[in-house]
Amino acid sequence: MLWLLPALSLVAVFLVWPVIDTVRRSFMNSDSTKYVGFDNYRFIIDNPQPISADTHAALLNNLLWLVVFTGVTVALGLTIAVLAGRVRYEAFAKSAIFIPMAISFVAAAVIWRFMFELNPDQGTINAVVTKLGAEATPWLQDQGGPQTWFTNQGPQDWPQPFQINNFALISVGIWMWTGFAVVILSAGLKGISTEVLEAARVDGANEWQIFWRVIFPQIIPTMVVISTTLVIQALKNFDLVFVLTGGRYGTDIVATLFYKQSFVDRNFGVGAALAVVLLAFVVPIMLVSIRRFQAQEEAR
Amino acid sequence: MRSRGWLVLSLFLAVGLLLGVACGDDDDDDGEATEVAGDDDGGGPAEEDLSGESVDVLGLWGAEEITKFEAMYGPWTEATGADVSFVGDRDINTTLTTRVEGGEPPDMALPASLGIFRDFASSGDLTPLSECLEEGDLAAYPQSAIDVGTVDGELYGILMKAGNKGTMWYSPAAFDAAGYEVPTTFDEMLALADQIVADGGTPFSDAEEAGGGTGFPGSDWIQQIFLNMHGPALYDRWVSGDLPYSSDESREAWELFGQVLLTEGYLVGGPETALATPFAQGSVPLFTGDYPAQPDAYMHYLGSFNAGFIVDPANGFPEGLEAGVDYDYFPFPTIGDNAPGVTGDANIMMIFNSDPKTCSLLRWLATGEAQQIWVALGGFTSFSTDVDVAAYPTDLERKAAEQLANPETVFRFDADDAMPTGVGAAVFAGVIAYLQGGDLDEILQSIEATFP
Amino acid sequence: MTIRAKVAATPATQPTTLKREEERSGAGPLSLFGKFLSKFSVHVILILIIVAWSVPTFALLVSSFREPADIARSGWWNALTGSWSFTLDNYDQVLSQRNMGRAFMNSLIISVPSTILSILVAAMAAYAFAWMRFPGRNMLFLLVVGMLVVPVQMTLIPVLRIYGDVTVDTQVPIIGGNLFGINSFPGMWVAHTAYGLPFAIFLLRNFFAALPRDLFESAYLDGASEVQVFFKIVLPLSGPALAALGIFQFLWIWNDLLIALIYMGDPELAPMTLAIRNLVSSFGTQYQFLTAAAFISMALPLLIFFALQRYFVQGVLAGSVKG
Repeated sequence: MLWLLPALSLVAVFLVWPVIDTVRRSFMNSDSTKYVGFDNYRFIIDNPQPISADTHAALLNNLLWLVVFTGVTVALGLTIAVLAGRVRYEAFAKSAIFIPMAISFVAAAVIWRFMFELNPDQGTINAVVTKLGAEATPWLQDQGGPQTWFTNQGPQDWPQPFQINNFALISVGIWMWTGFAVVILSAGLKGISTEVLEAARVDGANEWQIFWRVIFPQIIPTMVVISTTLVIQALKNFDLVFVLTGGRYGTDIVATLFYKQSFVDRNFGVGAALAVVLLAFVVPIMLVSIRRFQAQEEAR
Repeated sequence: MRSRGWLVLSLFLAVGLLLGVACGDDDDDDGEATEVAGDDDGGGPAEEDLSGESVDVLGLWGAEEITKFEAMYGPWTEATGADVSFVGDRDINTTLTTRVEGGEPPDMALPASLGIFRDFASSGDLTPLSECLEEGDLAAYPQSAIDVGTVDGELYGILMKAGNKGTMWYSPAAFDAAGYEVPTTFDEMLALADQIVADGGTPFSDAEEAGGGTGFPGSDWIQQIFLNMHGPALYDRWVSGDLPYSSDESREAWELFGQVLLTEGYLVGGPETALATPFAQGSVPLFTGDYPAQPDAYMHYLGSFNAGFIVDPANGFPEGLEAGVDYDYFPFPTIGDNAPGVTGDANIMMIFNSDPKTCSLLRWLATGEAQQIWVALGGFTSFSTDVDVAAYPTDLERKAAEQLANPETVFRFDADDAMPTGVGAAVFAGVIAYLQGGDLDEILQSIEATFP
Repeated sequence: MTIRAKVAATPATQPTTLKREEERSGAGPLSLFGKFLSKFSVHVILILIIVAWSVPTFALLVSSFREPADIARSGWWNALTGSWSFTLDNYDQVLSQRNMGRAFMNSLIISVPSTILSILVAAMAAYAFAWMRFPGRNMLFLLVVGMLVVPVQMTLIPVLRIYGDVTVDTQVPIIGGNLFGINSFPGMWVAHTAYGLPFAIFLLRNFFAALPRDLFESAYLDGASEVQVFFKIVLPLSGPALAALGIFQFLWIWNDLLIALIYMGDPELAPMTLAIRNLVSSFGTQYQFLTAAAFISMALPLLIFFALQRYFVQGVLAGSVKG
């Protein structure tokens, strides 16, 4: 098994061993000097510091990220891939969508400051919004439900995690990752056999029917690859939230909370427990993968 | 089962592999703490031959601060031939925590958080300064500064590069134009605020956005109010957690803070704007609008470092503002009969070994002579009385330094930096929640829960 | 020789026919007007999306050429109307920052070998996962892929402990730094390789598994060893996938700050991300430098992306069609 040895040893030392160490620390006190049983997990459930370390909000926000970020990115990626395939400036379009992936998080933070800035003389989005007659909103700070922006109703009308700022952050994530989905999906679309499409057209199907009945089923495997990558990205998406809001204003997700508990508050026990929860999130995803993996094996 | 076996096997193999490749050891032979005779009688750093050595220093400075720090240790490198390898990181607490926990601390670190300093001191990661310093080396430092650096009766840290946070910024030109008097008590300040509102103006400006430190200006407000309201003895108990954070005394300070920032018409733009505005731009409304006849706001509370922002047009200030004429600060107003208190922060110089090179650099940086180099370049307030007050480049900086050095002044370390680690961040989050209209009881309870 | 011949007939060469296909499809049931409308709306939607996607980056680009005071006082679009007052000062100041040249070199010395090494190691493992049968294969693969979600911060302390023990402080000539462990380039290569492996193995296994089975069988019949198959069939056929992976890996390593900060304490050896970070003082924001620095650091990855774009599109295609 010489083929696997280098990879497995590296993964074991750099990833598996730290995970084991983290699981151990999740049962210990803040500076890992004595065992405390399940106290750290109880912290996550009881949520005793709702103002500075809102564990419940972080879990809910992660779910929102999981659903909205993954869903929209895949859907948008598919739309763009389909549309771009029909125009001559396809390469240009795809490059424009891909560029955000090349941007470092420090730069992304600066960019989106210019976008989200409250003062409509400086913030691009608020400049547009005020031109259209609406009120400027502090996008990254506003914890109101997304409907409050349209109706100007009270700030807490919708339950967590449906806050304007969560959606603002997720849009940035979508902005960064759609390029990934587009490039892969448009490649997948081009792999579809042209004979099948021809046959469908000869049978009199319109474009809409062709898309849903012929094209879509064929790219489902591609969609699964993308979705898996994006789901994992949504889970560990630390940098983006960290540089834009740092998890303030109720935007924490598990990864940022883990970071703050471990390194800012130096509470390694709770930090480790949060990391373990993050890992536990992946188990169902892995179970789905294992089924697909085995099915693929049999098909071969 | 099989996969478990694989896991263990590959872990074993991997470690073996790495060990086989490299059977090295740490650099920096920390065993040989040779005594070096110092001649600490001023006139440049002690002549020692440390050529080829490099001291690994971790701090949070960047840009021109690094240049000034280089100027500060320059004479030492010339005298010893050693070098300083400085890494500036604003996220220093994370880097420092990781490197210390990972067993690879730097030789010296200069963070601003007292909490992390105390953690490392009590966990035994820091080296007591007595291993490097001799009797009298710190004679120029006031006892209050020495006390802050002392943990369990042992000195582990030296305070340097202080920030004075007892400073209320205003524009003398605007005050003159409207005929307002500088208030000395909090009641006078609130009366003035009402007067300004009656005159059709807005009294206060506030800006809280500071990345990971968002909410710190509000936290400074509250600690400064607490110190002036309840005095230093209660302040110390509050900071240590002996007096519960959810106590009535704490609550009173928060409510007075709320009275300033949450009263309708007091705050330019309202709390929402304050939260979204970068703290470096908080004084901008003092000079916009119909300045000086009626600017957008009249007073802004922020530490002495605000002087550096006002002169920088990159922060949105008009060009050509003049210190003492256009901008100045008055001491934070007193409350009741208490003596005026000043809170402030500082970088804490700490060491992780007593190698000759580390000790040598520490001794040099602690001298008034070294610190005066940076003082003269601006942006550095020293605790050392060896620093000539005339060396401060501006009147404002001199004033802030004198306020700190004044024996009448009650100096206390910044509360959110001095509270146990984790509490400070919770206070910041509490400030945000409070300005957004959160329930004060819930906020105070949540912060209280972060005390160990 | 037989191997070479088969290579040409693989699916990687398929995806060029669609354009022609699209042009011919005009004879569908849609009326001319309807066709015009749908074509028109395709352009409108697409161009709107492109604009929306480009505005943020464009704003950054414009801002990087503005005076610091202007950036603070007015929105970037003001620079396009009214008086044109652009400056190169921001770029000049970033580029003349001490150590910036060295930092650029360091970034290259860190990124290039790390990228190559991670692809090589991942390709070997992905080959084994895709085409070799051994007990516990599925579990091992899932263990590796599951590591995708591990936050890097979680690993720093345990790994640093190990690195501290294995550091060899022999100075390496020319590139500098220790031979291994802390403050060493090889240490960084190994670390970045390890952190990149889960994604790389995930992507490559899917690609390799999609290669046609008979290709391998005929090769084995010809008496080729696994090493030969790997180097003569798998790697050449996977050029596009490897290029795609290379882009991702290079981007992530190039933009890394955290790992460098922890394992590369020596500022002489630090990459550009750290040098850029040092442009900002402990109290400042200095947007003017950050905007310019952002473009300088983006330039190289983008160049590589455009150079490899063709491969990139094809590479992930073959991996995803089946996998």
